Amino acid sequence: MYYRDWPNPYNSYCFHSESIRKLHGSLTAITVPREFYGEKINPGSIELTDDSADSTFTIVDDRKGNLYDNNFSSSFAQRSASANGSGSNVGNVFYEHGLLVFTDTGSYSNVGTGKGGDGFQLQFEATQTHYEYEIGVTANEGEFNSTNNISISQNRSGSIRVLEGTTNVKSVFAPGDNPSQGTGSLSSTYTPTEEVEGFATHSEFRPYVTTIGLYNDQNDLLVVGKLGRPIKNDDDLSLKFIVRFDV
Amino acid sequence: MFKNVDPSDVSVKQFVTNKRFTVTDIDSGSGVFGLTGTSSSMYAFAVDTADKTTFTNSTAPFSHSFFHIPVFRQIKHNKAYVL
Repeated sequence: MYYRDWPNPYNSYCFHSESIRKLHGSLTAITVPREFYGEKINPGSIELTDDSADSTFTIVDDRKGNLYDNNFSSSFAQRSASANGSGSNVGNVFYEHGLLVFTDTGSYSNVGTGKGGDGFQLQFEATQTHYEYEIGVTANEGEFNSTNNISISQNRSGSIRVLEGTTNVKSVFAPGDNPSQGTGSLSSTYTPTEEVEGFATHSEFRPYVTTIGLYNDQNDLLVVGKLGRPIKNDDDLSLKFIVRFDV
Repeated sequence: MFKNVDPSDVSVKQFVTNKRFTVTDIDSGSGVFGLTGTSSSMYAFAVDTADKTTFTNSTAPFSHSFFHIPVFRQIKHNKAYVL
């Protein structure tokens, strides 16, 4: 629905619903940023208190895109007093665009301009659709029963080998000759261990699930789910974790 | 360790939320503006002399100006305002 010139080039309007459009030679408007109203202003939620005139106007919407003075709600409902300045039809609201347009050129001609004693106060409800994703992630028997966590590596050994002659040793952070004290100089070589700690070689050793990551087809990590407490990934059981998030 | 998620294990449900806001005419720094529009010809429109409503900020950009004639024409003619 929109204001347009046909067939009367001066004050015509287009409508296909119960919205009343009257556009004269001037208008005032209040624009609300999208960051506030989201997808749209919730129809029926608008309440504008305006002090631009001698008396305070309370302007509301009718859920159909019309704005009227709440004091004229009776005549608005009867569509009996829609004359300019009557208060029963002071303008329109474009819910999806956060735009309130006041087309009345009489008593309400300064509504929304901030003129007068206290300017205006606008209350409205923003509408936003949210999506709740629920994804079931299954670890069948025997799956995900190994770990790359450095805590099982002997002496927390890293996995990068630094050969003699490496020119930029600092870039690989090879341990120093006294790493436990945090002192010493960097070693010129480093050989990572190929062993794991003893507890990880036990036949009953099972890693615990603490975190679940969800990736897209490009291997971009999109979602990280943290378990409330670690869950032992038993080889004999199939575990299913539910990752739930809202966007 | 990766594993593909079975599509049958993915559920997406939507729900609508409403949040109430209160703004005033002194909220211009947050983007709420009370504008004025005037019907007139754009012929010989000059920004130096054209009627406009200006809002000032203490931080950059220090002011916003909305010219009355373009505001009116945009609201009257632009189909972007289709409901």
